[in-house]
Amino acid sequence: MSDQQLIKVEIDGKSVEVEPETTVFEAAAKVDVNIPALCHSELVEPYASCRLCMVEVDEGDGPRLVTSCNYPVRGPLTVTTDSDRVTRTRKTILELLLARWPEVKPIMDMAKFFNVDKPRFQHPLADCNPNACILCGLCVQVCSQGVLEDVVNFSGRATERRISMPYGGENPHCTGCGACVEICPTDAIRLTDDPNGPADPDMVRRAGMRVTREMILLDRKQSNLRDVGTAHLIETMNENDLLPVMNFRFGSHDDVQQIGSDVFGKKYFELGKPDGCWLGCTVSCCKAVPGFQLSTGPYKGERVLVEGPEYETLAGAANMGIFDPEFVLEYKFYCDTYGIDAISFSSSVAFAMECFEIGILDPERTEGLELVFGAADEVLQLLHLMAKGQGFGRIAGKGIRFMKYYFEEHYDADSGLLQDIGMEAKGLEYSQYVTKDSLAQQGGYGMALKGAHHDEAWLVLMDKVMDQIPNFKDKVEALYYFPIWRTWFGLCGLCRLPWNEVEPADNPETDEPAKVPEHVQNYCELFEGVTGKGQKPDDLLEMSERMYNFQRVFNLRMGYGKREHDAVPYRSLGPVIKEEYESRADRYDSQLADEVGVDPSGMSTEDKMAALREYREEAYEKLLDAVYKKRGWTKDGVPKAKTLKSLGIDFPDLVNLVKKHGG
Amino acid sequence: MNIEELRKTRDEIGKRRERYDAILMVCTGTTCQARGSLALVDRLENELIKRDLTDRFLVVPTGCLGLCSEGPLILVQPEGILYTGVSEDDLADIVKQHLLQNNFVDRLLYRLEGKAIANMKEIPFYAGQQLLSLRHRSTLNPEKIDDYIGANGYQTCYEVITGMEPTEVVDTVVRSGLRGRGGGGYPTGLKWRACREAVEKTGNHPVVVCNADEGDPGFMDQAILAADPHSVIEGMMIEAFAVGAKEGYVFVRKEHPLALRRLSKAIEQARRKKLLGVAIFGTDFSFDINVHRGAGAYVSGESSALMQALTGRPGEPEAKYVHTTERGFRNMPTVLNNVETIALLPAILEKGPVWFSSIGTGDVSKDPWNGNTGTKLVSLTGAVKNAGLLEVPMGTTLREIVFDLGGGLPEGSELKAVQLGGPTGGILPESQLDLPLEFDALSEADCPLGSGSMIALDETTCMVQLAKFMVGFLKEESCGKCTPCREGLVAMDVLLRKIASGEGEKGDLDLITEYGQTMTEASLCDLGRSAATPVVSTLRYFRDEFEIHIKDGKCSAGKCRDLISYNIIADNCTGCTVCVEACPENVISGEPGKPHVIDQDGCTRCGICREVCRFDAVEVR
Amino acid sequence: MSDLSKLDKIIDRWNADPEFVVEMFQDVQDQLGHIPRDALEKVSDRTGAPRGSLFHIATFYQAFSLQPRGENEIQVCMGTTCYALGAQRVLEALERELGIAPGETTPDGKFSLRKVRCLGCCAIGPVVAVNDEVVGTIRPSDVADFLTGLS
Repeated sequence: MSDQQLIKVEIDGKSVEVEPETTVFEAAAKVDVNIPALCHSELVEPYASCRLCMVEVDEGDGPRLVTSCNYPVRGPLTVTTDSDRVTRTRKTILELLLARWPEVKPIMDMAKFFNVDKPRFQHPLADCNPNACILCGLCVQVCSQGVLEDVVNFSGRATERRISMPYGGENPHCTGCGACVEICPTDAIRLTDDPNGPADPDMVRRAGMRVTREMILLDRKQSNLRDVGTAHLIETMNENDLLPVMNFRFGSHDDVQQIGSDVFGKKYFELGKPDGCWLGCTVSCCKAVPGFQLSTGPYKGERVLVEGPEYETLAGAANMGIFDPEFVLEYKFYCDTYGIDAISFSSSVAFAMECFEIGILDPERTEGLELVFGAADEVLQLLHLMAKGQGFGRIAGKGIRFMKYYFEEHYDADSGLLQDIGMEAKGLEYSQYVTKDSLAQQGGYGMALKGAHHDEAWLVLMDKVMDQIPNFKDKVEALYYFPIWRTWFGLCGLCRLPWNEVEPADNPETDEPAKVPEHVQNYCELFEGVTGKGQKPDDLLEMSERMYNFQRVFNLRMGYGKREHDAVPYRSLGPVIKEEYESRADRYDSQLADEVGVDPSGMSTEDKMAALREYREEAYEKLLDAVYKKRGWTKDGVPKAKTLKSLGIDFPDLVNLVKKHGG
Repeated sequence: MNIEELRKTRDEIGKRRERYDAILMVCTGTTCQARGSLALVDRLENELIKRDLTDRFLVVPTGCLGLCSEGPLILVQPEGILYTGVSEDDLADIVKQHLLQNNFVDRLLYRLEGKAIANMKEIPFYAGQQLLSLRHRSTLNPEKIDDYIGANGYQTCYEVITGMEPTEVVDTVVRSGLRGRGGGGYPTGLKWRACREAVEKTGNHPVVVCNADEGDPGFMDQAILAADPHSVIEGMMIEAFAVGAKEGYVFVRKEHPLALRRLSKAIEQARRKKLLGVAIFGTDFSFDINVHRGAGAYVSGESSALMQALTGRPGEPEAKYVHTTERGFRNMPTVLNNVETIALLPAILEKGPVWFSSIGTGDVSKDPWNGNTGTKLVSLTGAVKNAGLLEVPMGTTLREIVFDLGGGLPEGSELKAVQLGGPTGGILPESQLDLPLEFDALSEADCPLGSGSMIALDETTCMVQLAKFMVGFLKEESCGKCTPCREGLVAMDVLLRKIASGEGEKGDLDLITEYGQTMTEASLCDLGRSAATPVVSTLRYFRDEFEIHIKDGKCSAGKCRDLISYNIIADNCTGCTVCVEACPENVISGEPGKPHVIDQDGCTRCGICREVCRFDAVEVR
Repeated sequence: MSDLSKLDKIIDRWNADPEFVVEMFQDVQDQLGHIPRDALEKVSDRTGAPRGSLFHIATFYQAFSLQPRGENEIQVCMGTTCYALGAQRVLEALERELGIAPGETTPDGKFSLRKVRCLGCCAIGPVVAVNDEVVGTIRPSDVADFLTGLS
């Protein structure tokens, strides 16, 4: 935007420079020239129906009357907002409005301002209700563009034009979000729904409206969730070398643009509108590709609707070395249809591919599959085999932890190598972020209670892209705070996207931008609105910390709750193979020099890798020590009895269990 | 279909036609159909079969022949003998007398001042016409693509597609001076050029849209579509080639089933012959046409409303300061032209811009705005003898159209005014009738040409009532989106009703003018901006009549009910009781044989008594 | 409940394409005599066209009605030419004889009366169409007999 030429606009003698396509109305606001309007709001597209915002513009060919709310600045122009012609036009329009709605305040106020007295004709439809609907259409606009629902709309034509729900009355498709009520300038809309008994429905709605407002105003500038969903991440990750490519070996690839969000946004997401998980969700990150024709499997040739793809599905394809959007849709559809998790699938297959490339697997062992990176057809065959429980699918379908055991046991593969490149923790395959250079995310994956998934501590972005947690201490703090905070969403059954996917415009200026304090406060109000219990941010955290520790103890009981279970494969920490190191040699070399204190010049790649490994493994262990301490856990990762007590969950069987493990 | 096949079909059709002694073209235009002309086609065919004459004579259901007021019409070709007002009972005579004995059926011939005129070309209504968009009138069966090919159809688009550069086509149309026939009068070639520029700028695919959402009057574009649908298809192909479009859309109302059916059939035929589809004529030009069957709403003909309606949204105008050529249908660069404009294209490309611009007025060699070239369709209706559809060179005076072609008004009536351009058009008094049929001249007279509708009004027309009707029409047809149009029309309606009921006040006319100005300047779309035109032009030319209503409480035309009364002239009344029977309010009393009396208290002034009276005994005061 | 299989067939005919919802509504109107609520719901569900916009369409065009129309639909052309030739009085005569206003249906369900804008037969105005069959040059005094002929 910054490289665009600014255009000079003169409004009532005041000069201002604006970007092309700025409206005259917006330009006027910049120089504090007020233009009257009834149908305009920053929350919706200009509608230009009240016609009160008319001004005269002159682009060198004489003054013309135009509506300022939608007149785009495309070249230098002079604007007059108070000429005789403008004033006369406004007065007539106000007279017409006043004739029909003589008691509606916004109209009365404006009429008074422009000295419009009594209408000079008797309007046959004159409506003396002070809360009459004046047909400005703001509710219609906000329902369709803001809430993405389009339940409130106009009906009829001409003087029969009204605002209505389909067939009048209440409508089951209206979620009662209240956006139309909030935007209505005459209080003509009332909420009549039964909102399922929250303690304070208005508080809930106000909190909801804050989310809606930010989604409308800020999403396109920040995450573009409404247009492309989480796919917007793919470019960011690729640019920052964090996108897994070929079983997490690399973090970017030249062909990624072929499966980029732009491709899906423009070519495939054709539902016609953003889609939400539930009616009225204004985040609407869900995407779908309609009418996709399948080319393999039991539904070959049929046209189907494919949900997604989301970021993880796209990145999973890159992790298998495949950059073909049609493949992405095909594997996504069949994973969904078979009930197979696309993340575990793609990570498992990526691992199998690497095993194939380094000779642990061969066509005989895969029963004919040439499972090299990029082999899209083979991947789809394997997916169908997995679903049927046949051939190599029977082995790969059991996941990485099983494959590691199986390849070692049956093919005599190098156990250490398998451990290094088999990307799983606690038996769960890694989700799609490269963590080699993000210590915080290494901990985020390794310590996550459910295994190597990012929902508990998705720190890679704040660590490597936003640089919000630069120091070791910051990372430890983040690994304490975020898993607890994020657990709160699950605890209350709330979506976390409105928390930090779109942030208030002034969030970067707050003390702790990573925590998005204003939004945490909004969640407090949601909680209070529903339960009636006033809560502060720390209260929410305490609820959650209690749950988090409870879950860790549960893990412990199931045999997964100690330090040894928080171990990660080395590829999570650093380069395993030569090629991996050498492809980013500059970065690793300077790290050796600056952080490890080893002079890499003259060293062989093997030696450099060994030095780096030693350093990184040590750093990871130090991280575990520090985080455990912060969480009130023992060095072995077991919650101390004291911790349980302070959280109020010192139930005897819990305390006995942790004590048995030294806690 | 390649060019050899096309030429072969053309030659065969010509030869086949020559085999017949005569071809009977039965008009199946909307009006003749309403009068039963489809049954005539069947009966005539049966008659020929019965007499075993099918080898010698051919019956062709053809498109509108134009002289609708005289229908049903049958034209006997190649002689060109026109029969009017034909009923099923007349068919046997046509076959026996005309076809077999070569004697015209005198009673069915068109008559001018009592004298029969047999040959169509000699009837003044037809003699003054020049046919371009209707150039296949009375020559082909609109449901047969071979007939169109036989009339040299699709040859021009072959020459264009295989022999010209798209920009050359655009230049040709610019130089022809062709201006949009939908009413705006924007030079068609310049519109195409703007579209090409938008495509270059945005990289988006262009779309061509044919606007057949004809409102009121609704029979010009429909007549072309129903009479010669392939000329519209060929025109759209030329248009698409010129701007680089692969997709075309035609928006036709459901209210015009005949046009819809024939166009859909024609498109199917063209697809089967591969004149539409991929790689047309073996070139890399691909194009296909989709038909949208719209629901009728006057406002939906407005261009931005049409773009909405085409995508399945309410047909409501959209406020935007971006041309449709840049962002129209599905936000693609869109060329929107009306049917008549498109139907002119094959002729322009075949015969060249110089030929086209030699018809009509002005020198457009440098600037298409500087003239009114070619011909224009006119629907001439109202109080004229010959009502129907005609095509004349632009620049023809309105007087020539009403009096020479239209035959003037019936005996005893006088022309008071003509109404031009449909409900958002204007009124011109008789004194302005020497104005030419041109976009600019008529706009300057506050009476835009519009789509070319012309209604002759006689002295019984009350201008206040007419203005009230037009405002009432628009008040109901406004979409209601923007304030000036929605509420301004209500205000005008209120004031005109006041005047019509004799309660008008000094200043009301100025108030109407003031509201009208705001509507014109501040409304959102073209409908709103032109909604005041009828009233503005009526006030400009007939202000006196309005003032008489206000000052004297009188309606000279005898139409404003609050200002008139119906009275029985005792001297003329024979006491036949017909009016007593007919009066819906039962307020006429009287015995048979004695003059009747109307009780003014209960009379609603519906006028039925006057209508049923055979003795001119009811007068309006 | 409307005949849902009919609705599905109509929607299928237009490939459930949201750009053709007006066409679907026309077919629904023709086959069911009005646009019932469940037709709107079904069209919305299958095409993805939003409900609000569909209801706007159903009430925007005079060709659609939310209530069933009468057995005989009488359309009076109120185009400019027909008006100039006296259509207003024909309409009033019909209103008077039927006892209903334009847009209404007689209580016995026999007749609906509707104003339309130009039926394309301007040369033979005033024009009235009964169940899509056009009758030209009709006079107010013809109306009573004309209705008797229909019932």
